[in-house]
Amino acid sequence: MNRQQKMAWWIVITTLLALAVSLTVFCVLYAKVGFPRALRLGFACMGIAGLGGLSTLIFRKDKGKVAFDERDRIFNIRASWAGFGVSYGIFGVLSMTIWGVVGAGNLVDVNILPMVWFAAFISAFFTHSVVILIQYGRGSKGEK
Amino acid sequence: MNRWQKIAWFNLIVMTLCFVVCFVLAASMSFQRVATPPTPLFLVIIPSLILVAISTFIFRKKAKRVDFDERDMQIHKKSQYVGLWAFVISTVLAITVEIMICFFAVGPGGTLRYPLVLLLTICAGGGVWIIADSIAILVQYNWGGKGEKS
Repeated sequence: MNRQQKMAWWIVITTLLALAVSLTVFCVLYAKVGFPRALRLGFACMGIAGLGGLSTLIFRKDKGKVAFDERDRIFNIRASWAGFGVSYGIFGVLSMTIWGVVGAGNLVDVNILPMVWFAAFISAFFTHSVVILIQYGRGSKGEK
Repeated sequence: MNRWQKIAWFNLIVMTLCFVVCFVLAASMSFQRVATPPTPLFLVIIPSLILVAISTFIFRKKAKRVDFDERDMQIHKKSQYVGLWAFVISTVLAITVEIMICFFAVGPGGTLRYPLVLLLTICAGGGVWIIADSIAILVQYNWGGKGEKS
């Protein structure tokens, strides 16, 4: 497994962990504090996904080794396109859904806006990592 | 001028006109102090984007002709990167700033009507991408024909 795969696994695991914690917190608090507060507190747990950003520090590049060849570059470009496309789509769909559900004349909580932004942001990195893993065949095939 | 240059010129003209019309509309709405959602702007941007999307059908490939060689592919790839980066920088920055303005204007516990300007920014971002992509194609072909045929 090469450095890029390890980093991708780290981001996938931290994001899924964040999602699991977030959903648990939301489900537990929903009955106690109601929808908007439970949503806010649940979404706050998505901050765990920020640990994914440490991947470049955890999996450091070995000195004197070529860690990135032409094939890796192509995989990375494809994954970036996919990540960008998915985040763009998620932002558009979430915006349209909120606008459609709430209605043009009604008011929404302002905290929804940063949540939509973060959902798109996190989905970009998550999709990027998933697509990288899919292209490498989900596991090691001798890459070092 | 080959087919891709014609498409690039077409896209550039359509999107530039679209942005000029949108700017005039937005300016006139702000002068008249119209507080309605920016629906007229959507009615300009979305048809323009549809027109750009069908440009490959408007400028059809001639039968039994190779209209895309290795050099064209390289040009196409580079221009796509330019378009993507223009989009990412302009749109992501614009959306972030818009959300921050809404958040700080209303306050953490406040409410507001869902800002349609966010959706408008996404659509306009598509326009920025197309303009940057078209300009990059035309710059690489040196803005005009040098014997390329469609």
